[in-house]
Amino acid sequence: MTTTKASQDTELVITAKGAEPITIRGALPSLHSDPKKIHQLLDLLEMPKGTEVKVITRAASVVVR
Amino acid sequence: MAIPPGCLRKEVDIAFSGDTVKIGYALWETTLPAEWVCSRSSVQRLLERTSTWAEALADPHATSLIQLLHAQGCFVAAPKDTYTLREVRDLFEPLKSSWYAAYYAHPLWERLRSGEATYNELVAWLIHNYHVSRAAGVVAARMASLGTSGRWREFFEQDALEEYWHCDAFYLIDPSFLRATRENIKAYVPLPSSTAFEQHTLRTAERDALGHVLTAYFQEASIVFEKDSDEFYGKVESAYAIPSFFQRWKDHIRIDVAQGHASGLRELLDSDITVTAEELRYALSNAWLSFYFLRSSLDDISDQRHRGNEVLLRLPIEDCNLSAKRTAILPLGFVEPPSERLVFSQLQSLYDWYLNASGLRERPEMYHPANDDLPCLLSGLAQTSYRALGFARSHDDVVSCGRAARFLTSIAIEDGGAPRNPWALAVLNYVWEATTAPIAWLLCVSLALDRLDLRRIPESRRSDSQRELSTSVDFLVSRTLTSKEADSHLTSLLQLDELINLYQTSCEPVPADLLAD
Repeated sequence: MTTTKASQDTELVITAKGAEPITIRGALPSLHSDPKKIHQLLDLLEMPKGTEVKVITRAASVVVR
Repeated sequence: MAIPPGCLRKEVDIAFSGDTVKIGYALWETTLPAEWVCSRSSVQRLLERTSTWAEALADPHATSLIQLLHAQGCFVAAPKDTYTLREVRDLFEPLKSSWYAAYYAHPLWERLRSGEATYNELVAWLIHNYHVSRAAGVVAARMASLGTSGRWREFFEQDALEEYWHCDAFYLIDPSFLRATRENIKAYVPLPSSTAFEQHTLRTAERDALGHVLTAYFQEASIVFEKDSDEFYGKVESAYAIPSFFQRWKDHIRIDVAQGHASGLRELLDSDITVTAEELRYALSNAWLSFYFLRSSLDDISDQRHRGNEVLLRLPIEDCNLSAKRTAILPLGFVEPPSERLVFSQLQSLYDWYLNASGLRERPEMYHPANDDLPCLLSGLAQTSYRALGFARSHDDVVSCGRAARFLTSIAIEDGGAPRNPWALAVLNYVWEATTAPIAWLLCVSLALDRLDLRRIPESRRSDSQRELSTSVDFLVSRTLTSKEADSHLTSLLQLDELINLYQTSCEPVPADLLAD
């Protein structure tokens, strides 16, 4: 299996051995830099009707440094 | 049982409930229609962890779900022999998110937000943040002074200069708010977890550059929660009637953003330089321990609960005054001080009195078999003895530390391994940091050995060792202490005893494989 990123923001290609490559195009936000972008990601994907996603963590004070 | 690479991590929570299936990991929860899940055997096997995501791709209808779960970091990565720093960064991101989720799940946050936490807990939390800020420049400087990589060393030199003054400008609390003096705040004895965090990050900075970068990144990248943070501060200001109290904290966050601290740390990992799998495991372990001690500090803060608006600060011992009404650092039931103050004028008598003081002598049952880190502690203490000898300068200190080094080496168990109990490491780090002051170190190592109970050492070795150790301490028996020295030693022993107590009563082990959990 290989996973390549032609551009971090525009394309994600997944290749599984023996299968045709699967390409996802569009803005692929890094969720870990902005957890709320999971909603944007959901819009890009063809998920079954009724699928929901949400951020369940209610953060408080940032970790000081 | 280990989860195979490509399957859902153990920490991914799957819950079937009525007509929905909920998948929870780190910061997110995905809800799927149960009918759809049950109609796709590929998805069922994926959720049951009996197939990998690559196998599930055979079903085109599963692709989007796999993408969604991949983005969250839900799958166990395939192990490799080496990793580029870029790969390390990508592997760390979901771990970091799961640690944030655990950190913010602590009940203390809601208690502060609602005003339910006592005033003393609020003060303890505020001063804990001051301590973490105070450590930032120090830890960065430790890294810069000992690091070997040119680019990273330059980064942390600049980082140290940017960070060291923030504790003074932004986090040194207004004493009038606390009804205490500025000197009280500066002298406040850190909570045990605050000490453990600071000393662990110092040791990590010395010997694990990658672990240091990951820890710093975990801290700085929490600015992603700036909006939630601002809301939280507003709630606390309102709940405790301290309007605009957190403005300086918000100003600090803005500076961190403007100076690009989080992005700068992320860029350090934007490289094709490789590390071995072993180096990666070690770095992740160290980063986890940093997170663990930060999360534990929330427990320590909660332990500072007092009724009403009473504030009892953790002040260092002063003038050998051991009144529990003066400082929160004394454990419950601590005995009244000796009637003869001369006990504290000599090193040996001070130690003997302290070891047998009520409230400390009665210890809980010591060992958790699953977390028996005795070999690690003994070999670690032996290592500290050479450092202490390396800092000794006076004749008496050289001879005392040399004897102690000989003794500790004789009882050390070879290849003690890495500690499984995080607090074993905290104890070792505390003793390590004391090595720059030989007498303080000798007291710390004596206390650690006495609390560890030499019963576990073979009889023949123990009798020789005890004689050697008592000779070592006896050598100092004529060491006269000033009042300030006695205060400092008593405070230090109390701090170490807090860490030893946590070692004896905590059982959460360091995760064996963070990439697989």
